[in-house]
Amino acid sequence: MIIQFLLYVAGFAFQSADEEREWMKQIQSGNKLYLSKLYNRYHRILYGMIYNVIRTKEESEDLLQEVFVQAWEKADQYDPSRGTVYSFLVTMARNKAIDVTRSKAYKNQSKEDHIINDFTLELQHDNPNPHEEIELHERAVKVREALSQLKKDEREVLYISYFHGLSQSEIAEKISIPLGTVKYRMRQGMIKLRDMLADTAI
Amino acid sequence: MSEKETYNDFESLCTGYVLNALSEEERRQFEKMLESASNEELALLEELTEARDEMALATESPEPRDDLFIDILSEISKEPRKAPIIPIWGYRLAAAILLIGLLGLVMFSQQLSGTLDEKTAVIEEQTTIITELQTELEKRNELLAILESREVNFVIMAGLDVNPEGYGKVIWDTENQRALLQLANLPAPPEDRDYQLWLIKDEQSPISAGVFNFERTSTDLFFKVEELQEQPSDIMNMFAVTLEPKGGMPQPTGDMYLLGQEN
Repeated sequence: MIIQFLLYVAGFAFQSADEEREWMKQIQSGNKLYLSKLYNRYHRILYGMIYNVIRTKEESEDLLQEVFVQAWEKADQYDPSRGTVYSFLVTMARNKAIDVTRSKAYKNQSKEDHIINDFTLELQHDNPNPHEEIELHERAVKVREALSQLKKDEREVLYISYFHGLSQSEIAEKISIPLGTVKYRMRQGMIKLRDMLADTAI
Repeated sequence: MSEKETYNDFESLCTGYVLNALSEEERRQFEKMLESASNEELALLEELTEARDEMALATESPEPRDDLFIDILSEISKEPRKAPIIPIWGYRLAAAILLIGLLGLVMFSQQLSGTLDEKTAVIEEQTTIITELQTELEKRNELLAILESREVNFVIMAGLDVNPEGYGKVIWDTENQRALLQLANLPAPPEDRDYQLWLIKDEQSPISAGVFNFERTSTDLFFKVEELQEQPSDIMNMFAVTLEPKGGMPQPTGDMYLLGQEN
């Protein structure tokens, strides 16, 4: 039964990705209804990601708007051979959010040193969130479980790198550890995460 | 690998690369490696990229405001569908055309009429989208109410021989006797047919839980099950989906597409 369930989840993820590629084709041809479908599916995750980077509600909303406007305007630049629609959107959202944190205006607000956590806050939310779609909820639970199995030090390095966009040498300086240790933890963390997510996806 | 070793092998550089955390020199070194990378190494890059993107799913945050998508809609409607603006000299020109002759007036009127038609089409399109979004929002609110219930049973249904790709899920709020049905990868039923959901308790006769219809195959078709005023059996509960004549039948007569048993 467990294997059936995992096959089901993996199957859903693949079919969902195929479906979203079809949606992108519709968006490319100017059908706004499919942009709304994409928005309904991903706006909370993208907003959560952006909010974790810049930590202000209003700016996060502006950036989320930019992401979907850009997804509409540059839909023809989406190349299915280079990744999923989710990957296209989340990469765009992360790059935009990190660009904001690097701007002069943002640094002047002294937000550079805002909360550095190691996904601990996120790991506390294991209860099903009714606002997440079922498939996304199942994926989120798996990611949270996988992250919870990493060492705290590894999670911390991944968190800073992903949500703060810092290089390995910047991370070393920020949390006062040797560069080699940052590289080691990043490698260990990412490889373990990859292995655990691959295991659950069959 | 100890912490003191160097980290310039493919795997180490790859993890830093996907997170965009390498120095400029290391990035160039890795991109050089990529030019002659093996299939396994390319697969590693792809898997690590996917793992990186999945990290966004671990976040929680407040909700963005409800009307944000309306702003997005109006933003994307600005550029490509901007209505032509007629400058002051345009009106003078129109007046000149009026003076020149009736033919010019007719042409100008046609142009205005075209603009009006275009604007009307934009408004109609926007109204349709807003109506569809409102309907979808109402539907989602109903579905969320079921998901928020305390006592919820999940039953996963697998596709049978007639359509092995199909699958489905029943989320059964037993306390409030309502349920949510998800159907995926089922072919759209012919015009004279409906899919019908059945509850089978303890291998007794199936109990109809309603009929369902849709026009396009999809992976996210959700339906509120209105006719499930039954308590679950303590022994065994199964759900099945069959294809039946329009409006449904008292007992199943058509091909069975999905079947699943409660854990």
